Amino acid sequence: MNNVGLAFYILSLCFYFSAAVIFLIDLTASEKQLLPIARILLIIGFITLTLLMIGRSVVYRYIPLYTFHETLLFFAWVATIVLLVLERAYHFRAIYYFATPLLFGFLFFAFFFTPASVDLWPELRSIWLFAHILTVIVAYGTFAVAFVVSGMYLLVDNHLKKKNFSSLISKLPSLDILDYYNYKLVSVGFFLLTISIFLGAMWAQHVWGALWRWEHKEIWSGITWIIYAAYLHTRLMSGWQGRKVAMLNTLGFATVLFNYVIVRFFLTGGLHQFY
Amino acid sequence: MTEIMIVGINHKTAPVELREKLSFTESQLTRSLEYCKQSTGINEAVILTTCNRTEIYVAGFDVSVCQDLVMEMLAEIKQIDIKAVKPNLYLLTQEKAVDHLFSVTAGLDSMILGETQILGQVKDAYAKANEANAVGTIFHSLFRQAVTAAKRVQTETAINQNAASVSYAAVELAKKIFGRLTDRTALILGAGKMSELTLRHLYDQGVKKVIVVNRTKARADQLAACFGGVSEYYEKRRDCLIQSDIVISSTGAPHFVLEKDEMASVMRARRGKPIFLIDIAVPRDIDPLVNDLENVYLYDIDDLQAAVASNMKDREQEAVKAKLIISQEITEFQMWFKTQEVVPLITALRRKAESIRTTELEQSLKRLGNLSDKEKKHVDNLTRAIVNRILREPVLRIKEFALEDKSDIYVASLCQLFDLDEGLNGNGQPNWQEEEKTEANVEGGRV
Repeated sequence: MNNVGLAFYILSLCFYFSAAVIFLIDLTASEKQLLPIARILLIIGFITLTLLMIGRSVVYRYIPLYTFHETLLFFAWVATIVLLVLERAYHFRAIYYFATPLLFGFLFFAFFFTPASVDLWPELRSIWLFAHILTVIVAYGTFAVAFVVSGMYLLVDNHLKKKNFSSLISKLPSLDILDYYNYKLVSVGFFLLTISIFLGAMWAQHVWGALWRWEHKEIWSGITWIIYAAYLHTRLMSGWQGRKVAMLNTLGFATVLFNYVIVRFFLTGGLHQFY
Repeated sequence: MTEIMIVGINHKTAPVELREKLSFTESQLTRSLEYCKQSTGINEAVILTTCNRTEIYVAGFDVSVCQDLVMEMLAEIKQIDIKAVKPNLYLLTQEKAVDHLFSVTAGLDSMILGETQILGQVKDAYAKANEANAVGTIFHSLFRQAVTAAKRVQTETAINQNAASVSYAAVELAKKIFGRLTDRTALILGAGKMSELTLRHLYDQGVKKVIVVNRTKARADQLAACFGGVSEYYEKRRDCLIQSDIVISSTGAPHFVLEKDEMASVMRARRGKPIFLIDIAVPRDIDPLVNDLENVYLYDIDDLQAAVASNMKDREQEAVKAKLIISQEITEFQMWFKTQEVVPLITALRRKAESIRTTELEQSLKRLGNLSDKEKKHVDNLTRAIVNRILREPVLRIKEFALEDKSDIYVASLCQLFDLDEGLNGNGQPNWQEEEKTEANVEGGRV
């Protein structure tokens, strides 16, 4: 499996990379025929990634969501689905240009972590835990795309404010649309994050008899939750739109990354030692 | 051999006073096309007349004859002294004429580079000529190819993507901020000509509500009525600002009518909802510092003009790509056109072979006596197959040579070898022109 798995991993890396490069060429040059090519490459990469994950679950006999390597792959997989849905269902093409390079980044990041499997203790085989991890990664994937949308918002806003009429912004959607997608994506991500925290607490209660143990991971998840709650609050209550909310969203994703990577490796311990 | 020629006048060669003199009314157009049809020497004609150009496209055997005929026609129908306008006219022939039509149709020769209105006008000119039966094979193919090229330019380049005027630039920016404008409110501060024009574009994009604020209420009422909007007193402008998404300001005030502090309070009242301020007044109405407020996008007339200038630069870049597309389509047309030169020869050759075949066949059948119908048919097919087989290669070669511009010598030698002179002059070109006209009519609808 290892060699075959590695081959699939490298293949999907190549597809995501070439898709990202072609998307960027399409963004800067006005060759209209390039986007479909890049999209096909992305879809092939996505299929390869899917096969890789299916392969892992068949060989290791668990859904591959337990090692850091696995979660990174799944993370990129989820975000790709979000992209494809946004483009196919809502014609939000411009998202490809900025999100695909980020997804490649996450996939490539997985290269530095062992693709080996883990032996699952009996407690880890709980359905609560599985659902906890699944929902949190889906939430993270959604937040990642929302972050990209915020970045695009800031870019367009900046161009409009500075009166910079490069052909770049003619390829991007209007501020109104970007704001709308941002809001929708964060709403979905927030909903999933809330469920995930709840599921995690249930699992902890079930296994260790405590809902909340003030571990680093838990604290930072709480902070992330509060930031996104603040985003949704300002968006709903005060009708805010614009730079400030886009920045708040960026901050939210920064805490996601911090929690996902930094806390995982430098502030580990307790029940979250694997993640 | 048929030649293509244009006599024309456009915004580059003549001022509007002159262009007016040569522009055609509907009835003059019909009469001119009729005139061209009547005159021997002109085989096909299309007349393109717009506010920026009048161009007469003619196909005939002799360019100088065609030119004289067109001049006579202009003098007669437009009742002008042709000598007076002659320095402003241009005469283009063959490749140059073809190139010209293609770039005109694609908007590359237009006053506003890349505009698409001209495509419709060219189609129209072609349709009218076709209706008048003034179009034959060559123009049918020429105009169809030019329209194809122009359509490709529109879909494959971004030449017409950006606004080419200040008021359109304002609309595009509004769209970049708000997406669709259908549920937006526009506010006019000061009802001038320019603000009315911009408002008209916004209104065409479906702006939901229009508010007009003017120092003289009567004028405000009048303008508001045009767009089914409401008018307000100047004193209530702050409330109007709170309600609106797009503001067009062009008061005659000598000082700023909207300062940063006031706008900041308006933004608080709007709960930060984005607002697009278009200041087209000179001197300016809105303090430029207002642009620093979050979600406020302030553009003055210079900014909009800069946007248009940058768009025009983009258009020039796209024009390079457009020229490439056009040259591909021109090559395709030229290939077809060159093989047309040898069509009469091929027809004559075929006709000669066919006449030999039928005479020989008749004689043989007489001598063979009582053959059954089936046998007769078989012999007929056999002779036909032999003739076709023999002629296949030469016909292909002739077409190839035509493409390489080597047709002259081969046409001459073939005529000699097969004694084709009579066939060529007698039934050649005029004949195929007649035949193909009906085809052109049938297909004209598709263009």
